[in-house]
Amino acid sequence: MELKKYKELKAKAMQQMGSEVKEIKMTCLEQWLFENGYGNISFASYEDAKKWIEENVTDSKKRRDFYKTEEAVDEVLQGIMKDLEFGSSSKGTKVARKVAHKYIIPAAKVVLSAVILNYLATKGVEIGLRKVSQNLYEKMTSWPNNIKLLDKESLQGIKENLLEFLEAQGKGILEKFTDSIIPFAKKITSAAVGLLEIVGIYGINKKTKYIRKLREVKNKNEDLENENSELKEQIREGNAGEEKNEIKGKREAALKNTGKYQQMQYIVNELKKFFKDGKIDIPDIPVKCVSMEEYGKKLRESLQSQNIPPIKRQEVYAVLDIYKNSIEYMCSELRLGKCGIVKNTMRTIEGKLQQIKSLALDIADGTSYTIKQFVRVALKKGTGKSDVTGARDSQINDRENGNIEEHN
Amino acid sequence: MKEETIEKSIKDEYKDVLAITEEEIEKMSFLEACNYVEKLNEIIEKIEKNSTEEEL
Repeated sequence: MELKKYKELKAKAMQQMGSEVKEIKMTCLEQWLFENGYGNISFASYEDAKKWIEENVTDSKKRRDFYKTEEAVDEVLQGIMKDLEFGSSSKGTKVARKVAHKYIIPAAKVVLSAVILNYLATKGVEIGLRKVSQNLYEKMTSWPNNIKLLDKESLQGIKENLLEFLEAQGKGILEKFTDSIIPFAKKITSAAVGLLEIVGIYGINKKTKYIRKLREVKNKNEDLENENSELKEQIREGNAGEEKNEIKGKREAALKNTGKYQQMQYIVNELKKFFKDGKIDIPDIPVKCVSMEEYGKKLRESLQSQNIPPIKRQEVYAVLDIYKNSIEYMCSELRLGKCGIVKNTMRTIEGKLQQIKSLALDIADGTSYTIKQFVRVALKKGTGKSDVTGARDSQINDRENGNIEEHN
Repeated sequence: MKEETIEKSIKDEYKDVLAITEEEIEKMSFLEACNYVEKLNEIIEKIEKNSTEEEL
C-alpha cells in the first residue's frame, strides 16, 4: 500500500496551507491598514507591518481592533488546519460556514438593518414609523455582533433623528431623516464589504484572476486612450465633415467601452430593474455623461418631470447610493490588487434589496408585519418558500400562538 | 477485502485527486489545499481501516 506516499502528500498540502495562512493574514492586515487610513504605506513582510502598527498606531482602540481581527482570523484558519491534521472532515463548505458565521452574517445584518431603516424611512407615512423605528432601533442595538461595527456617534445620530422624526411626523423631517440615513447606510455597506474582504479566504484563489482581469481592463483603456489621441490628432489636422462625424461616432463607442462607463451602466441597469414594478422611468446615461454625480442631476430632473413624489424620489436616490457605494468600494479594492468578490457581494446586496422591496410592497398594500417578523424574514435564507410566503406563514403561526404584535 | 482490490478501488474513486502533482500542490489556495487534504484523509482512513480489519 502507498500509505506513506499519501501521508507525505498530505504533509506537503498542509505546508502549503500554512503558507497560504500567511498570505491571508497579510491580506487582512493590508485591508485593516487601508480601512484605518494607512493604505498608502507598503511593507515587505507581515512582521514588518505588524511592528509598524505597534510603534506608530497610537490609538489603543485601533490597535486592539487590529489584534482582535488577527486573533479571529488565526482562530478560524488554525482551527481548520488542526481539524484536518487529525483527520476530521473539514470540507470547503464547512470552512465557508465557519467563516460566514464569524464575519459575513453579522456584516450582512448590519447592511440589512441600514437598508431596512432607510427603506422604512421612505415608507414611513404609510406604515406608521413610530413603533417600527423604535423596535428596529432596539433590535439593532441588541445585536451584540453588530455593536462593534456601529460606532456610538452613528447610533446616537440615528436615535436623535428618529426622535426628532417621531416628534414632528412631518414630511420635511422625513426627508431630513432619510438624508442622515443615507451616509450611514453607505458607511455600513463599506464596512460589510470590507469584512467580506478581510476574510480573504473566499477571494484569495481568485486574486490572480482579478488582477489579470484588471490588467486587461487597464490595457484596453490604454489602447482606447491611444486611439483617442490619434483621433484628436486627425481633428487637429483639419479632417472635418463626414470624417469628423465618423470620428465622433468612434469616440462615443470608445467611451462606452471604458470601465467607468460600464460601471455606471451596470448601476443604472440595476436601478431600472429595481424600480421596474414601481413604474418609475429611470433615464439612460447620456453619452457625454462622465460621472455618477452628473447622472444624479439627470436622474433628479427626470424624476421631477415624471411628478414622482419626494418620498419616492428619496427611495430612488437611496438605492442608487447603495449600489454606487458598494461598487466604488469594490473597484477601489480591485485597483489595489485586493482579492475581489464583486459578484458574490452584489448578489447578496441585490437579494436583500429585493426581499425588502417585496415586504415593503406588501406593507404598502395593507399587510401587517411585526418588526420581529420583518427582520426574521428578511434575514432568513434557503427555506424553500418565498420570503414573503414565509413571512405570512410565520404571521399566521404567531396569531395562532397569540403573540402577534400589530403596529398598523 | 484484499489489499489489491482496495488499492484499485481507491485509484478509481480518487483518480482526479491522485493525478495532482507536487508542483500543483505548491500553487494551491488555502481552500483548494483544504479540500485536497480532506480527500487524502478519506484515502488514508480507508487504507488504515482495511489494515485493521485484516489484522483482526
